[in-house]
Amino acid sequence: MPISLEQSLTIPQSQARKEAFQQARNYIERAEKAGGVSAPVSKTFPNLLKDGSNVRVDIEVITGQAFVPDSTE
Amino acid sequence: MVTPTEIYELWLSEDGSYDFLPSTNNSARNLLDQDAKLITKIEADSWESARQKQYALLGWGNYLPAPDPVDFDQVFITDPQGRETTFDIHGLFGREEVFQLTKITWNKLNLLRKENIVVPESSQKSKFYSFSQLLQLQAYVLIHHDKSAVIRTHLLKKVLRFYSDNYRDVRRHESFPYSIGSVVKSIEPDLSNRDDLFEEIRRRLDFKGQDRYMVHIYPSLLNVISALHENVQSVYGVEFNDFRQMLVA
Repeated sequence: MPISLEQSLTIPQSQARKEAFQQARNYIERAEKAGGVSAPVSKTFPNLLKDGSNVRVDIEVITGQAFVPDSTE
Repeated sequence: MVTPTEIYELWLSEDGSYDFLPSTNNSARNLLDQDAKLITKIEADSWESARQKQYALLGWGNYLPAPDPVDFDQVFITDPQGRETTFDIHGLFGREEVFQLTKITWNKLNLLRKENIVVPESSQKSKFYSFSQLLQLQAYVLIHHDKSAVIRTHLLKKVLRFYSDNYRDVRRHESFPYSIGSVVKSIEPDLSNRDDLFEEIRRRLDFKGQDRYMVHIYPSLLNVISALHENVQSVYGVEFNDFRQMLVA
């Protein structure tokens, strides 16, 4: 999901969120390894490279469970 | 009646990221960074309310919850005269209804089908269009009304996909899709995201391969729904209440 969201952005938008998207991917990987995460929860990655920027990447799980690893069976 | 409240925790990690979770959500707590520090606790009666308080605390403006498509069964519009039209988004529309509702011609409808742009579902004898396809057809009629807009098939597909992809999100109903080259995006009516458009234009400013670029701006979903509404009212007029029952049924 973060990949398709990232691809929908223009180059400057994507650049401004590059670090935040990487952090989001790391968070999702960690959640998968932990077996998923239950709602509700949010994780926000602000753009720290630029002072005063209001750019951020938000992960928000509103209902159910997210990032549950695929069954290997 | 007293609404039960819950405690929500706001955590800040050294990398600047925030975690926000109910105190009872252990799966989320397990994902906290080791260096995360608890900033504050917020009491609220719902997740939305808690998020709004978090946004206010961090100066992020208003929290806009994501629309829930599962609960979104109808699209309705009320005009300044108080006339209302409601569409069941799960409804299916036969070809005769499509002609009446969108004022599209046989030729255009067949052309869109042959080009695989808007293809109806078929049963043994009948062809049916979904509500999202009805929006696409109405959008096509409005776009085609501008004779100066010559749009190639592959681009038209992308443009019409904007309507079927976004009608469930009310926040996108006033956005205007536009195309430049083969890129299709949308611009807000208050031009708050105009930098996207400027950036797309800037990327093409070398004019090496092409001596001109056209930016087409297409009708918003609100324009499309309004056009459908006008057609419904003009066709069904007095018997509209019966018609609405049919649409919502």
